[in-house]
Amino acid sequence: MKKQGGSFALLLVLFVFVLGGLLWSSFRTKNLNIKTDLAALENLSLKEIDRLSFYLDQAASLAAQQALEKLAATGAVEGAKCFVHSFDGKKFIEWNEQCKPEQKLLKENFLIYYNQSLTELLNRYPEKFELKYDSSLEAGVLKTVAKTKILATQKAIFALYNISFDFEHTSEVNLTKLLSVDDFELIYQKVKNKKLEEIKKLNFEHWNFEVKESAGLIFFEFRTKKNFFFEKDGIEHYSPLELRFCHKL
Amino acid sequence: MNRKAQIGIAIQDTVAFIFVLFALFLFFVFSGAFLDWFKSHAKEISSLQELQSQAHHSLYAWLQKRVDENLTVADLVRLSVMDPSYKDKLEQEAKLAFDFYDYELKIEGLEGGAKFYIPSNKTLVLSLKIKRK
Repeated sequence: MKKQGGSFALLLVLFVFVLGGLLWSSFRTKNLNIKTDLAALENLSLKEIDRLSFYLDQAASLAAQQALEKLAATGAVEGAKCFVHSFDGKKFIEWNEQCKPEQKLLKENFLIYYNQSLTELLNRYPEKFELKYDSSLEAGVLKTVAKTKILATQKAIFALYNISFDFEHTSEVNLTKLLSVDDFELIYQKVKNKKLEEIKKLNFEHWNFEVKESAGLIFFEFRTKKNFFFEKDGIEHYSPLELRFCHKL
Repeated sequence: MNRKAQIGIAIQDTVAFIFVLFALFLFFVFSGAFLDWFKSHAKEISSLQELQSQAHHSLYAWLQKRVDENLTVADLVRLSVMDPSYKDKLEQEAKLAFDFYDYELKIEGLEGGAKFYIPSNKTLVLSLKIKRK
């Protein structure tokens, strides 16, 4: 009887030993899996931040170019108080004292066009995210501060994770390198009350221009020296911006 | 207890003992093999992650590189979609940057590669996959 008890105790101890080993092994494997998952998730977060920051910088630059294109296309003025003339099959807005490019209005309109275009581009980002941004234009530098929340689902070794994390990103576009919003007013100041011969001698940092005279009006066709990215009727372009206006002799 | 019964119990204990030893042996063999598998698998995963990280950082830096005064590589990608004549220039730039690896670069996605989104009228997905030469 004593011998049977001893054998039973030995079996029990061995059984506990095997069970303990199995539990320890399972615990250790799970721990390793969780550690691997956490490292992968941290890596994923950093990559998502890079991806979205890059997209924001690119979108800010494109939206700025699009806003400048809209300013140029509208003759850099508020259309309601302006006369429009047709010449050579093209429309020219007449610049005069009632209808001229004004710095304050240009800056306001630029920011309106910029925000519209940036929102459109951000809506095309293929991943889930939430974003609030503020934009400002000071001394030729367009600054956009974006507060962002990224939402992602990641299947890793141990489990399927739903993760969200916040970060703030600032995009800066130096407009003086592209085209200053002030250029439009500067053009007006340089060409107003000038004779055709004087106008032909003018030089502009960012623009080339052609000028023609007809029926008491001077017609100006300005083109930027650089190409810009912009969308028109859903088609993307990379070409100079065009500014057309006319002025009474 | 008679002698035959004692022999019976002794055999029973011995069989049980051998069974437990065998179970222990199996446990150590399988747990060892599992740990070896896990380690090699983890090594594979970490090597793959390392390459993916390299691809991610390389692509991020490359896209921001200036190819001339006005254009970055990201602009060149956008242009190559708008106008196929820019494709050669883009391929040259890619060769300069990634020739150190066996690489695959694709616009419109690549399974398992590092990817970046480029804003355009239709968002472009640029992917890079690298392998050591």
